Amino acid sequence: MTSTPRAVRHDPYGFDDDTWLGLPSQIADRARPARPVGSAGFWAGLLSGQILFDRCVECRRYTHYPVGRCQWCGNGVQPEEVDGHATVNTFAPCYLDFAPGMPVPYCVAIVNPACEPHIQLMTNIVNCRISDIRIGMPVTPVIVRDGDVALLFYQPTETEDAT
Amino acid sequence: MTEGALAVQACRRAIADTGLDPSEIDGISMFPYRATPPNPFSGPDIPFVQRALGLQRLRWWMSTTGDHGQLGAVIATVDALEAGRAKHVVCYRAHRRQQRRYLAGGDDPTRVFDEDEHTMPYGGGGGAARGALWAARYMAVHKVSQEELAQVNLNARFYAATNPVAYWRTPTTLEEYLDSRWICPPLKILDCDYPIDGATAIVLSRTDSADGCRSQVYVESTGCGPGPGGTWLTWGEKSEIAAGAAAAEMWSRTSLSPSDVDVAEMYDGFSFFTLQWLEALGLAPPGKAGAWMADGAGKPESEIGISTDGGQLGVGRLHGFGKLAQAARQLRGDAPNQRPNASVAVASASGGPNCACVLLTKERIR
Repeated sequence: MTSTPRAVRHDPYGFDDDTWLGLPSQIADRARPARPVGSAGFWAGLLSGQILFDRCVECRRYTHYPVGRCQWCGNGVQPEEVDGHATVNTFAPCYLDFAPGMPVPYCVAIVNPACEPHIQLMTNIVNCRISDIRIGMPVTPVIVRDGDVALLFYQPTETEDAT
Repeated sequence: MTEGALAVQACRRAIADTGLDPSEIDGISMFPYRATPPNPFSGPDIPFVQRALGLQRLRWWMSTTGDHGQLGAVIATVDALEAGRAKHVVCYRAHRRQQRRYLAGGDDPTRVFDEDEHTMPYGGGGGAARGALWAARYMAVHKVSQEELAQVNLNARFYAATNPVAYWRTPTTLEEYLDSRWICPPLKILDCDYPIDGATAIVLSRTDSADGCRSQVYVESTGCGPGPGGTWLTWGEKSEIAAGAAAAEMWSRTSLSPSDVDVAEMYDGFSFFTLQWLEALGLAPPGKAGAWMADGAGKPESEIGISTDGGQLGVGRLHGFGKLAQAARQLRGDAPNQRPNASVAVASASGGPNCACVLLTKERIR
């Protein structure tokens, strides 16, 4: 019964399960927006391979997910492409599926984009082992498109000295 | 029983407990609103309960969202009573255990709206996945160990074992906890509350209208309000929940202080919320509530009782209302696991961005 691993405790928080989290190729059976309105531009951007965040025309900070205005000063926004590089704010390996189309285990995470670290962006961490994931880890975006759906995943950023 | 029958039974018992004639009830409140189409989670609507109680006229009614945690309905009621909108309000929460696999996504979890657009496609829109993201951040920032987190379940199951209405009637051991199944690390199955069919009803009255009512205890203060604000996703620092703002508000409205608390009925929909509440209320130092409980805090021989009915981890998910009911029973002196001389009790509800707390006293202070 106790085949699941125990937690490695303390900072940096990690979890000693060596399961490899591959890049999902099929995402069409996951939940999807029923009537994208405020976020329609963001989802359309992913389908064309772009990460579009709303950027304030006044204070120049980014807002995501969209609320139609700048969440930091209330002024108007324009969508702008960003590189999406981010760090892991928090993460949770999931051994139960909490939404349709999610084979387990998967790792849900919230990342903070470098262009606006106060943005909380939910994603799945992929292309690594569960045991590799740490709070504070730099991660790089990977857009996956499956038919008429595209999602934004993140994988560990390759460092200079990695071979 | 249906959720409607559960609600009506709880309301009738609560009204009978006060000695009031049901016709004196002039207000009804509930958490949450009745969803359309209905689901067992949302409970019966107020007109259903009004009719089943035979009440011909009401002066005030309100169903609340979860924005203030489940006890937001109670706080709205206290404010309405103080404003003179009603004299005697019955406030209820009734639900049956959820049959649905997924909590978010409305009627069809494959077609999602609003924030769910940005969480459900990644499997993090609800349940333990959503909670674990906050738990992981809390435990990493404060270096809280799994053994310290375990204390919440051990405490709950200790008390539940001697509560006749508890679902779980056996205590747990640390080994049993550590060997239990992972759901979403750092959350194990024993960190998740147990879904039950249940209902709680509480009658709240104006003090100038309550002469002759039996079983009185007093609402000394309440706290809600999100502080920095946000949702389960957009909230900034997830090692802290809105309990900090709710607790600060509650303490600002009373002459009492954390050292006066005899009983703390702490929300435990997920175990770590209890630790965050104990810290936010000033009962334990930041990040140290688990270690404090491991040293014995909360048990019968301790100066403070914590979740003395067994909580949602032991009794089952009564969604914060069970917390307030047990806090009131401790002050009345007829609680399961009754503590001697309990005169000040605090109950808390929910976690994350949605928090509410209520301070009760045995004697009227203000």
